Amino acid sequence: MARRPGTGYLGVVVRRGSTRGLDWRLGPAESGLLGHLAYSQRLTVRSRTERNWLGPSPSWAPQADLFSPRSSHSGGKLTLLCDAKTDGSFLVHHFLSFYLKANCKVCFVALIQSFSHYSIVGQKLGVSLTMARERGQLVFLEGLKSAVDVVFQAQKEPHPLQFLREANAGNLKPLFEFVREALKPIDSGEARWTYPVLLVDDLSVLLSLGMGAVAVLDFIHYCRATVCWELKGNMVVLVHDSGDAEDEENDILLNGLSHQSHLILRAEGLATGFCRDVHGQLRILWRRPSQPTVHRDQSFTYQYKIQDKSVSFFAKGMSPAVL
Amino acid sequence: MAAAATCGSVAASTGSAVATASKNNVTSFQRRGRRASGTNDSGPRLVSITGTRPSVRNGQLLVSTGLPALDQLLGGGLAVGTVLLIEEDKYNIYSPLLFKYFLAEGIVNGHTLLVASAKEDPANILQELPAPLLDDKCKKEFDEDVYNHKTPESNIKMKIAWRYQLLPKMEIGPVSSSRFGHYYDASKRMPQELIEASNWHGFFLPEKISSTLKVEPCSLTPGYTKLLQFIQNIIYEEGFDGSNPQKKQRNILRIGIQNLGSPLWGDDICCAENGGNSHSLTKFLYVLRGLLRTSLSACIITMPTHLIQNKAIIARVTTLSDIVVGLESFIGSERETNPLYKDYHGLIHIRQIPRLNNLICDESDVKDLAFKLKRKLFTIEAGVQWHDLGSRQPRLLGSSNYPASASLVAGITGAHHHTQLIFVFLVETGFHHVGQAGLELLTSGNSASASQSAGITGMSYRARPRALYFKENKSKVGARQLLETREEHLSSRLLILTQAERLCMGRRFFTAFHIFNELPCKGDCICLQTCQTQ
Repeated sequence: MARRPGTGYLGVVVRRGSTRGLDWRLGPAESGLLGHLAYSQRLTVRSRTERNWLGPSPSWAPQADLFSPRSSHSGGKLTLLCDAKTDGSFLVHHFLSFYLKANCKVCFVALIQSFSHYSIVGQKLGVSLTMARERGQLVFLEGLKSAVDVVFQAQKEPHPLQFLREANAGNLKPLFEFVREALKPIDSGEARWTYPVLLVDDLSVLLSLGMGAVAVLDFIHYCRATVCWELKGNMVVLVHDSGDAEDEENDILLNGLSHQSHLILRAEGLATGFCRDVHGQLRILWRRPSQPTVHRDQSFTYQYKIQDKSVSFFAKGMSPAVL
Repeated sequence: MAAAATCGSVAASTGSAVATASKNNVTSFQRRGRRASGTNDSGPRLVSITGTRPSVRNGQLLVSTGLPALDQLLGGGLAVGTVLLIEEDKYNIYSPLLFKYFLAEGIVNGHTLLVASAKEDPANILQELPAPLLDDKCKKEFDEDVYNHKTPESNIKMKIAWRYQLLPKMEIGPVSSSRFGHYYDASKRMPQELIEASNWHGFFLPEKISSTLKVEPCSLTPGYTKLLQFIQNIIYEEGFDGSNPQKKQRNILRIGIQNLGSPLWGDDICCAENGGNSHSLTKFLYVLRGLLRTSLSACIITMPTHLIQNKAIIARVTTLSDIVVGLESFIGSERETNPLYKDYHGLIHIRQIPRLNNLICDESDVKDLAFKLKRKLFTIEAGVQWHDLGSRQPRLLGSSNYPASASLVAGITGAHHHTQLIFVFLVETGFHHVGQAGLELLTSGNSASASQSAGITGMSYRARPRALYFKENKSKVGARQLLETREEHLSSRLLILTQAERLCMGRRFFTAFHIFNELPCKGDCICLQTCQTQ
């Protein structure tokens, strides 16, 4: 049994796993603090010819490489989308259309906008959300509409947004049950979809609705255990960065998620203020690169401009309007 | 209206093709008539509601806010199904005006109103609505440019003031009484017959709180719970969400909630920092938005955010609302006597505009807006220097083509005559280490040694400010790296502008900083050290 030093954690036990190479994976027998911490981290050693799913590229035209579909999937990645002083929803729309095109089963918890909003933007990006929903590829939880149902009518069975009716800050267990039910693999024999994906638009809204930061972190923890580790899917969540408005709960949530996530995409407004040609700046941070030869915790910064149907990225200071 | 028809056809071609989940839907080409996603309407929904028009950008149905200037700033109007949050000014003088304009617009267009207040009886609010201006009178009213009697008459015209006359005003001249957006006379009352002919519902909290409405268990304060019940009741019974089989409504419900979040509603976020039910307001906004998204309604809320103790709540409220407009009046502040703000009564900040059905939104380029309440009209004008003169750094707009920034700087020099701009550097295309040396020059102030090391070819002196010209190089490395560092240098009062921004500034900008008029035009970016204003 080969033993390699893990990048980061606690001397994890290695055992040979799948045929793809060495897998550091903890079996279900692990318990206690070690298991609790380390099961969340899965590293896969890849051969050099396989590209990472968001291959780092030094070229100045990153838009082709940034979001190219990956050649192989190892599963279990948590992507954190963060926006500070700007609107990072274009990233959510991108990931939604990306995963739907990649034939994944998507569970979308959309708490901040209605279904028609995402569907119209999705059509501009080339996917049809209604078709995906009819096919069963997309499970859509519309927060706004469900909230109205929950608050005004007593529900018989537990509703995912049951916590709206409770006076004290409860937990998000019904929501987690909903996610698990939506993404569980159907035992019909053939696999129609490649892997499951959980997309949450705006976790910060849960804080506004009365949940504590710890409850939301617990929910994400449970979802990661199920979606990332058990079902080998991906997760993408969006959190707002409140910046100088001292929102302690939001900071706890953001810091906690930043430590757990594999990829952080941070959309910031320009520090110099409003610009018509450059809408903001995107910082990309890989936290656990799978190739040990690559310098870990890579970070790239690009500025972007959002257009009607796409987003164009360019290096800092190299906006086409300026050059 | 021909304009609306062309808007509609454009919207049909761009914003159409949404297949909703209704099973009656055969064709996927439907014009987006409204935001209701769960309706059972089949077939094409033609927009024929008075007082609305489809947005050019995304086919969204828009209503007017009652102020055509504000409509223009918000990208055409207020979208149906969204919330307009007005952050009240300190003494609550101008925000009720905007509230009343919104309601008056509803009456003129024949929309149904729902007025909720904890302070005033809605019937009294409706009595005080401004009268609409009709065509033949409006031109006459416009010529009367009389200021509010509170501001003192001033015979001295500041040198600065002429600048503002050249800047375009945001308002559109009321040539005709258009069907979208009307003008109102703030000094007259709405005629009684118009009010009586309108369909309105009032929610006055002291009356409702004692009555026994069926209240669902929720963690909101009782006032909010009752208001939500009331709104949901009206929406369902009058058929604004299409779920009532008896009623087929083709009208808009305009909801106005006054002073939400104030202690009169039973909420304590204005009194204590960490109150008992600090989530009540945000939950209310969330559920309200859910109600609006599934019905033909638009809502205006005025909120005294300056009273809210916990800044985090203001940030959350902003995220949960669609459009946020902040009013800042000059009354009681030092700006009231400031000659620069002499003509205006306050500033308007458009804090947030939603991105509905789109990746981008129609943000206006002009960020410095001021309003003024003339005797009859409420106008919004652009180009006023709005930043706090007491701050150290002048804010520069990114690549704005607006001469506002020129006036911005000129304002500084006008008010404080002891500006001390020291250096201007022109970084020619990519002379990297020269740029660095130049920055060191700014901080060190010793010119001789730096110029030798930097290879400066020419120098000109004129009292304090100096211009340094650098040799040209082929690579563009230096300029780009300087641009990357612009945020860091901003804190040390060093402004780095790109070529495009520099061209936008205009000659007056540099004259104001006592810089030579004959500046070479080459260069990728320019660094300026700003003065320390008192």
